[in-house]
Amino acid sequence: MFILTKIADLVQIIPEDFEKEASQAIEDNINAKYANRVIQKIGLCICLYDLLSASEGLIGHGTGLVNVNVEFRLIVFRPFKHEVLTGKISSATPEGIRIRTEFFKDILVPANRLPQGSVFNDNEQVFTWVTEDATLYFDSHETVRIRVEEETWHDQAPTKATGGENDQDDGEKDKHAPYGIIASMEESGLGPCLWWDGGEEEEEES
Amino acid sequence: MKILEAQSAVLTNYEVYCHLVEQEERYERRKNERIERLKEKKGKGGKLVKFDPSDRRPGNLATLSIELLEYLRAPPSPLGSSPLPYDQGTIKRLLEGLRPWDFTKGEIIMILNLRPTTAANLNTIVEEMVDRFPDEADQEAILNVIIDVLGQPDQKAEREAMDESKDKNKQAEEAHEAAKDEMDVGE
Repeated sequence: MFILTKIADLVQIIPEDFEKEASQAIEDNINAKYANRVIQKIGLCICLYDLLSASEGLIGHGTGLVNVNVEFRLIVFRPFKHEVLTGKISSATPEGIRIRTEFFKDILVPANRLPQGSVFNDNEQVFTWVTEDATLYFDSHETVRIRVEEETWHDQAPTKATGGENDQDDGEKDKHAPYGIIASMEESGLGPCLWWDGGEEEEEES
Repeated sequence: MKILEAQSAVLTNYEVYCHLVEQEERYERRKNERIERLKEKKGKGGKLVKFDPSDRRPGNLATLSIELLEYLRAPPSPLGSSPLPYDQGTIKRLLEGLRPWDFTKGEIIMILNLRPTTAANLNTIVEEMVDRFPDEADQEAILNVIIDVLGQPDQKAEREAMDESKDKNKQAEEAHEAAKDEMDVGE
């Protein structure tokens, strides 16, 4: 689920931070810049893991900022293909079920990746899985297991500056999350955890 | 910004969890040290400031860290059970225990993160399990190694916790809806 990414960057420490220890100031600086941000094709950055190297601090002309070149490793949320994760159902539409975790909400399980026999229930706005002997509900807020199938990336950098081919889908662009995950729940063992983890007796009862 | 290596290592949830907890403690310690220092100064006529913005982590990090810890501690994650089923030697012990079978790195990581204790759960993690480990005794043995190293979830408590969080969310949603309705009436 999590990986380490090695990055080189320039950190600028403001004079207000001079009373902090240098390593702490650098860490805060990196975290303020990267935590909870998506880097295209890398993933959702969590926080600094460790600092590998830092140059001498140099003060530029005209500002009081101390410039430090650093190399560091970041913890990044980037589940690999076919990884199994847990999440919660946040909502359902005929297109599929949206899943979120506490810190990441752009996961979609499209209707065609649900178990065979799943139908959308218009009255209750939930998907149900109709099997031979029971109708099972994909209730909202249910904790589910999902398998990561695909990722979608949408660079939200201002398009005017880059121009060119990106211009045509401008209207749609706002809707897309910078990093999204397409997942599936069609295999046995995936889907609501309560279906699979529950005690034997209780399963027979219901 | 320059990416030197897109993926230099893979971490397990436990390692991320430790890092976050340790980070939280570090900030807390720093705050306490500062207050201690100020208290000393106060004796000599200094001012005691209880709150200082430099005690805080950057806001985006604080939010994410709280949410991520909440996620990692939520059942059925093994990090939510107490006592904590992991320690420094857990990963090594699991690797040694699973050596007789041929697992990929990804599978090992998922086993560590998800702690499968039934054949159904193991089946989702291990690709083509039926072909690779057709012998049921083998599957049983694998599960036993996992239970031996990582322990077993308290299923009843877990179910209740999951149900509870579901209910809590539902109630919050209903309250929200009700509030919205009231506002509509007010207008």
